Amino acid sequence: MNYFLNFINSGDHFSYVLSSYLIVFFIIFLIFILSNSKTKKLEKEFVNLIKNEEKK
Amino acid sequence: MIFNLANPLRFQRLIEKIEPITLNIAITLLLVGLFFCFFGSPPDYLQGETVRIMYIHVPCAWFSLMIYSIIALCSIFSIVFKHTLADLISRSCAPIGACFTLATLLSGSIWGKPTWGTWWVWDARLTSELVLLVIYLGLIIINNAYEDKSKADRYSSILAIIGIINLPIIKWSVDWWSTLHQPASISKFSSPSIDPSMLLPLFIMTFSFFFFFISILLVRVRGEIIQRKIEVIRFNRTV
Amino acid sequence: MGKYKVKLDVFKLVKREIRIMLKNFSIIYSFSTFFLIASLIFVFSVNDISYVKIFYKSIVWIVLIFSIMLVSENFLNEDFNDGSLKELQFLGFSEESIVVSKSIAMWVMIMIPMLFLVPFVFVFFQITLYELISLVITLFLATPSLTLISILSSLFSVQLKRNKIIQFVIILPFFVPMIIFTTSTGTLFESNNLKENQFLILIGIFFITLPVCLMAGRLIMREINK
Repeated sequence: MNYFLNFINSGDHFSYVLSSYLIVFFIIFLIFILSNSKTKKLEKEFVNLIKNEEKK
Repeated sequence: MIFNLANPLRFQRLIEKIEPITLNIAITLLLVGLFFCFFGSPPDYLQGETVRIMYIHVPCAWFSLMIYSIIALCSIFSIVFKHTLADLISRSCAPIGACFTLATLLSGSIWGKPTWGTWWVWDARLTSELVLLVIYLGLIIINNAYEDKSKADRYSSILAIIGIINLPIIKWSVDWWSTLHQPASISKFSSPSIDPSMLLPLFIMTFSFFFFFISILLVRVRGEIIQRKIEVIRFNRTV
Repeated sequence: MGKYKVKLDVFKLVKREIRIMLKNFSIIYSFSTFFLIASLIFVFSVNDISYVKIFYKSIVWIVLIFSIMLVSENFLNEDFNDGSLKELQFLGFSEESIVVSKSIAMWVMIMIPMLFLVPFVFVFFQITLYELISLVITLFLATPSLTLISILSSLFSVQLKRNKIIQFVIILPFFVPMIIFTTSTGTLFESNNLKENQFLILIGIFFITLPVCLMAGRLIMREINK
């Protein structure tokens, strides 16, 4: 806990560390969400295609 | 075992089982790692609190290199054996690798500001990371440039193989160039050995990032497999 | 016997390429004009002319790279579009010999005239004769690998209908070592020790580029004609 309190009170360094963590996690979550949404979209398309095939 | 899994359909069934597990492991490890990053590790005696950037910067840098070697291996595999799964993996690896490289560069430059005083130094390692990012972007572009998917895969695997031959040369030349321009390159770790209290969060974060990478990769590969299926169905319909 | 045949093949193909080049001479003409005008435009962008003396190597090399890429694009496109690339393969010429002959022809017909243009740069940029000689030697040693890489880049883009610019994007990182070692060569006569200047490294880079480009060229060529 001591480490954390020191870290929060470190002023300038705190903002640097926090911003770098935020940026890295933002990038990783961005690629995660993008790939997930792309896959979901493709899955929907695939299910629709299969349904159309069966109707015929 | 590997050849058993090399069938994309069987692989897809496996993915659907593994995917949630890896994501759960990644998030758990991330939370534990973040706890150790902020609560369980001391500040560096030289760099102070900014050393905490290391716990995400170094894993990202490792993975940016590792993903490129995965792409190169898959490319060799796809050229030699002409296997679809290797194509799928290398195609879905490229954007992830680019993201990790970008994360490395950004977090590194944020780390560089308080320690070196500037956002960017033309250091050998930074420059070669930048070149790596450019090569990743080239791979992504070539993956999407051709209408014929299998052609794009073949071209991008050729490019990846040229890249893996050329990357050491580029690294070496950039090394040589930066020592020419700068009196001494800055080494990031002032002491050769890291204290175990710092090593622990680093390793936990590395494993967490690894599982993140695996789960994103699996999602992307599943998407690619579905896309191929859609293309096959459409093709059959037109025929 | 086999070796002899490969040599003969390359010789035949080079003769064919050079004949084609001589027929549309405008490529050489436009390349030379582009090279001169582009390096002049660089001079206008600098306020103090004494800076040009410092940066002349970078200017010459960057202009050269861009002009080579522009030329190499239609170098293969015509052959691909009229089907002669496919025809050559059917006739039994190996892919490597086609790539090699194309690069030899391009080097002979475009790079050698370019070397005669460089003395004009010597007048414009007010560099000394010794610097000029070392510049010409660097150009002579590094242009073969430059040609090989640009042929490779045009092979990548030959099947693209639109968005041809990607050939520049994907291949430019591979020019990094070349640019570094060509622009940092000291003048020949500054350092008597041959190890200290980078001419040997340029030759070494050529011997790395040659097999890589041949291998990749063969793979791409097979893919093109599928």
